[in-house]
Amino acid sequence: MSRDLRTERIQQERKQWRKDHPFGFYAKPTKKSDGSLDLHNWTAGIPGKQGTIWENATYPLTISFPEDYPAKPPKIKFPPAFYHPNVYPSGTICLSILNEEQDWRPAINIKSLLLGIQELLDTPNPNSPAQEPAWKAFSKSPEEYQKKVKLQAQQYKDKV
Amino acid sequence: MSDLDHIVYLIKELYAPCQTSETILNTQKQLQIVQKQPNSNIVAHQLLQHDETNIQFFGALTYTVYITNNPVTLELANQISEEIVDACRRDLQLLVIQKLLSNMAKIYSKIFYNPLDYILNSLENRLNFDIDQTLVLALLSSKSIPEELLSSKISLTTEQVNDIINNIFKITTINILDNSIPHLKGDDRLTYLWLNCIESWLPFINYAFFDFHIVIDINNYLSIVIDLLINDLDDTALAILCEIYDTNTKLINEENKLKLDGMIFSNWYREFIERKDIDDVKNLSKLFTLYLELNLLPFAQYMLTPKYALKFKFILSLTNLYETPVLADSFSVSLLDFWIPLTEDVLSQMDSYSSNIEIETFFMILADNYWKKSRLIVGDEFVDDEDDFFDLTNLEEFLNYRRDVAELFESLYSINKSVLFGHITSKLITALDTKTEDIEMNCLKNIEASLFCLHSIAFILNENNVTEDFYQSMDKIFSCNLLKRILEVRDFNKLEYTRISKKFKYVPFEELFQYLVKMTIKFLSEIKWYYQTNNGKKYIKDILIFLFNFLNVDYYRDVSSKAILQITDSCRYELSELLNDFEASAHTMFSQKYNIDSTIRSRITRSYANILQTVKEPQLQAQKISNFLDLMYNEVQLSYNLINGNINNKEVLENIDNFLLSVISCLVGLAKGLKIPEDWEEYYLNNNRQDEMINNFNYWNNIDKNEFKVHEKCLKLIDLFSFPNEYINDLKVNKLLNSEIMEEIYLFFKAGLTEPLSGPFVIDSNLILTYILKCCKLFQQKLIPKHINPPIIKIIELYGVLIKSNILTSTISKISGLDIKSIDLKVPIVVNEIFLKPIHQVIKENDILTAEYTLFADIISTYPKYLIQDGSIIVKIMSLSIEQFSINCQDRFVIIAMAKFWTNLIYLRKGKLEDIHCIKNILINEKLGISLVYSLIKGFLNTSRSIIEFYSDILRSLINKFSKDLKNWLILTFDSINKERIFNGKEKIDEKEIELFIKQLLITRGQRSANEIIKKFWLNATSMVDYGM
Repeated sequence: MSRDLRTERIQQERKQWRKDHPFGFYAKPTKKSDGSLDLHNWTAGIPGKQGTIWENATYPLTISFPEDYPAKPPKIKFPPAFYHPNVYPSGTICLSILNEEQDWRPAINIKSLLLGIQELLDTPNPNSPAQEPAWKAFSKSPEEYQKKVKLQAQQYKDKV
Repeated sequence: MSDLDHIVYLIKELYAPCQTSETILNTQKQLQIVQKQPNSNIVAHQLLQHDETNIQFFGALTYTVYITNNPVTLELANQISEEIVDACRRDLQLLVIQKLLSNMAKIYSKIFYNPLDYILNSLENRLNFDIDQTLVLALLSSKSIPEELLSSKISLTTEQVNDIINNIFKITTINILDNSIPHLKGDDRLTYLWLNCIESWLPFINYAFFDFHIVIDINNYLSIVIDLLINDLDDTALAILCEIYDTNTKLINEENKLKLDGMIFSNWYREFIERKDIDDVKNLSKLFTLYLELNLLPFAQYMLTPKYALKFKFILSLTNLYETPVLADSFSVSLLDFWIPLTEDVLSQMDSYSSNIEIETFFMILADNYWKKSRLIVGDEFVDDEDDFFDLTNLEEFLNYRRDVAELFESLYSINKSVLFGHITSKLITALDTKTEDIEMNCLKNIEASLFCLHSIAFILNENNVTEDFYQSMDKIFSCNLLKRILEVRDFNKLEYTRISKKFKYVPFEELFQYLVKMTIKFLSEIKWYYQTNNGKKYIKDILIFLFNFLNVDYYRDVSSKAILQITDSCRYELSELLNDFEASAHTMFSQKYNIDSTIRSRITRSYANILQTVKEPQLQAQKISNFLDLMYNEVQLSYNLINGNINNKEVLENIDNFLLSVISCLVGLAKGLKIPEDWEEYYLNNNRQDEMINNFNYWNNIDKNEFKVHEKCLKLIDLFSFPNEYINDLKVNKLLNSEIMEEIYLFFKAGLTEPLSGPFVIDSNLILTYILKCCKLFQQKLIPKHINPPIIKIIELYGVLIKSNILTSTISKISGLDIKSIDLKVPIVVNEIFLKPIHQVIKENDILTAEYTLFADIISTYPKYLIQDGSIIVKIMSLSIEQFSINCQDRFVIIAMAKFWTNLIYLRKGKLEDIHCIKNILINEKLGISLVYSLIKGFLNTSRSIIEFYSDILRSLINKFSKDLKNWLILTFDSINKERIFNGKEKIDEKEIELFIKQLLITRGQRSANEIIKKFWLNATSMVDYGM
C-alpha cells in the first residue's frame, strides 16, 4: 500500500511521539465514526507549566495537517475564544514556527511545536497581537490578565 | 609555605568533608587561577607526583585545563603518555589514570595524534604488565576517543572520519576488542569495559553512518553482546542492543536478528525478570517493544499463520505478567507502543484475513489483559502499614499510561465493536453483583476499570454508529442498579471509614471511591446516545439525581457540573420533569455565594436554562425566571451591602467582585440558553406552531408586564449592576459602570436584541436606548472609574447592536406577520451624547475612538441618512477621522475602524442620491478630499507592513468613486510631502515613481490588482524588503 508524503511523515511523527513525548502532553489522531483513524487531524493537550498562571490545567488543541505537509506547517488551534494575546479569536495560534513565511521548517516535529506553544503560553509576544482583549490586558493590566488566565485554567483543569 | 604546598593545601581544603559552600567557592576560584596559568602543565606534573589520590586527580584535571587553554603539540602528547606510563608504574588509582587517558583523547581530538601503541608497548616491555592489565588500559583508552570526539562537537571532514575509523577503530580498537575476547569469560571487570568500549563507539559509528554514509560492520561483536545478554543477563549488553534498535537497526545483520528473535520468543526472559530489578526489566521491555515495532508489518500481515499466531500468544502472555503496571510491570506499559499501531494496521487489513473471528478472539484476550492492567493503583500497593505513604509521581505516571490504554481501547473497539463493549459490560456487571458488605478494594477497582474502558469506547460512539447491541449492554448496566450500588458502597463505607481511619493515617478506600465516582460520572456524560432511547429515558432522571447528589460535595462539583451540562445540552426534553430539581440546584449555586466556583455556577445555570427552554407555557417559564431574578437581585444587593463593612479586607472584596461578575455572567448564560432556535422559521412556521408563536409573542409583549414582570426585573437588576452607587446607601467604592460587569451587560442585551421574536430577555429597545443615554451622561461627567477597557466602549457597541436589531425587526415583522415595531434610533442625539459632547475624552483613548468609528461605519452601512443629512455632524466625524491616518498610523485597530468607516462612506451602498451628493460636496467642494488623501498618504508612508492593506482599501474605494479628483489630490499630496521632506533634510520620493504609481493605480479602477501596486510603492518608498505578506 503506497502512502503519500504527508501520511508517511505523520506516521513517523506519531511513532516518534509515542517513543518520546514530554510528560503530561498528549497528541493523537482523531477517530472517524467507524472507529478508523483520521491521521490528518489530531487532538492534543498541553499542560501549563508549573509555577506559572497556566499551571494545573491541560489546554486542548486541534492539529490539522495540510496536503502539502511537511512543506507547509500543520494548522494548530486552541478552542475558539481562547484567552491569550497571540491566539486569534478563531483559536489559531500566532507563532513564528507555525508560519510558513517565517520560521517553519519541515524538520520541526510535533514535539517541538507543542513545546513551543507551551512556552508561548507564559511568554506571550506583545509585538504580535492576535486578539484585542488578552493583548490589551497583558500590556496594560497584568492583574486583570492573570485573573482571566486563571479563570480559564479552571475551565481546563487537569482531569483524572 | 611554597607555592606547591599552598596548592596542595587548597586541594585538600576543597575535598575536605563538611566544607561551607563559601569556602568551596573561594577555594575553587583560587585553584582555577592556578590551572589557567601558562605553566600549569608543570604544576599538573608536580601534583601527579604527590602521594594522595585527590591531589593526583587534581593534577590530571589541571592537564585537562591546560590542554583546553593552550595550543596542543606533539611534545605535550608525549608528555601525557609518559605521565600515563608513570601512573601505571606507580599503580595509581584507576580514576587518575582514566582522567589522563581522557586527556590523551582530548589531545587526539585536536591534533589527531594518538600514542596508544607506545603506551601499551611501554606497559608490556618496561613494566611487564600482564595482558589483562594492558587490555583494561587499552579499552579505557579506546572508549575515551569517541566520547571526546563527540562531546567536543568539532566538525569533522570525511577524510578525518575515515581516518578515525580506519586507524583508531578498525586497527587499534578492533585489535583491543579481539584480544580481549578470550579473556572475557569469568572476568566481570574486563567484560564490563569491553561492552563499555562498544557502547562508547556506537554513537560515533552512527554518526559516521548517517552523516558520512560509512558503514562499519560490528556484527561479530554484537553476536557476543547478545550472548552476554542471554548467558550473563548483562545490563550493558542490553543497553547496547536497545541503543541499536532505537537508533540504527541497519547495524544488526539477519543472523544476529534471528538470534535475538530466538531469545525474545523463549522463556529466557523469566530468569531475567526473576533476577533483575524493575529498572533493568524496564530496559528489557523497551528492547522487546523496539524489536516488535520494527516487525510490525509482518505481524499484522501474517498474524493468523501458525508461526505468528504462536508469537502473538507469547507477546500476549508478556502483557499479562504482573498485576501492577508502572510499579512492577513495565511490559504492559512499553508494549502499548506495539499494540496500538498493530491494531490500526490490522484494522486496515481486516478484509484480507481468512478468519475475522480468530482475530477478534485474539484481540479480546488483549482487551482482557489491559482491562486488568487499567485497574487503579491507589490503595493497597502503597499502604501496607501506617508508615507507607501514597506516591503521587507513580500515580501521575499511571494515569498517563491509562490515557494510552484508553487509546488502545478506542482501536480495539474498531475491530471488536459491540462484542468488546458487551464483554466489558459483563465484567462490570459481575463486579456490581458483589454484595455490598463483601465489596473490597479489588471489587471497586474492577468496577472502576470497567467504567474506564467503557468510557474510552463510549467517547467515540454516537447515534450514527451504535447498534442495538450497545443499547442492550447499557440496559444491562442500568438494570443492575449501577448508580444505586455506588451510593450503597458510599453509605456502607462511611461507617467503614470511621473504623479504618482510626487505624491508618491514610485511607486508600476513600481515595479509590473518589476515583470510582468520578469515573462513573464521566461515563454517564459520554452515553448521551443512550438517553435518546426509550429505555435510556427511563434512567435519565435517576442519573441526574445521582449527579445532583454529588454536586453537593465539593470534590465532585467540577466533574458533575460538567456532566449535567453535557447531558442537558443534548437531552433537555427528556428532563423537563426535573424542572424543580434543576431550579433548586441553580438556586443553591447563588445562595451559597462564595463557596461555589464561578465556572460551576455558570454550568448549572446553563443547564437550568436548557431545561427551562423546554417549558411550553410562557407563564410557567416567566414564573421560574422571575423567581430566579428575585434571588439574583437579593444576593447581588446583599453583596454590594457587604462592601462598606469590608473596605480594608482585600480578599472579601475580591470574593464579592468575583461573585457579582459570576451572577451577571450567569444571567447572560440564562438569556443565551433561552434564545429561540436560530432556525425559528422552521421551528414555528414550518411545523404548524404558529399559534404557539403568537401565544408566546403576546405573552412576552403584553401579558407578562402585569404578571411576573420579567423584563422589568431584568432592567432592575441591570440597573443595580450598572449604577450600584445609586441603589446602595453611601457605597464607599465607585462601582459605576464597572468594566467587567459592563462586558456582561452588553452580552445580556445583545442576547435579547439578536432574538427574532419576543422572549423573556428581549427588552424593549426604547428602554435600552434610555439606558445607553444614561450611561453616556455618566461618561461625560467623568464619573466612571478609569479602566484599561473603558466601559463606554461596550455602550457604543451596544448602540451598534441596537441599530442592527432594528433592521432585523422589520424583516421579521414581514415574515411572521406579527406587529413588531422598529424604534426611532435618535441617531443625531446619541451621536451627540456619545461622541461630540465627550469629544476630548474620546480623542484621548484610541480604544474609544476605534469603537466610535466602528459604530459610525455601521450606521453608514445601515441608516446613512441619519448621519449624513445633519451636515455638521458628518463633517466633524470626517475631519477627526482624517487626522487619525497620520497620527495613529501605527495603531492597527484605529486604522481598521477608520478604513471601515471611509470605505462605507465612499461607496455609500445604502445611501440615497441626496446622501451621495452631500458626501461629494464635502469631499470636493469643501475640500476634505484633498485633506483625506494627504493624511492618508502621509500615514501610509509611515505605517507598518501589516497595516498597509487597510490604507489600500480606502485608496481603492477612492479610485472607484472619485477617480477624476483622486489624480489631482494625489499629485498635490506628493508635491506637499516632497516639499516637507526637502525641508526636513530627507530624500524626496522620486517623481517618476510617483507619476508611475498614480498612473498604474488609476488604471486598476480600484480592482484587487491595486493592492500589489500599493504594496510595491510602499516597499520602494520605505526601502523595505519584500519577504511576502
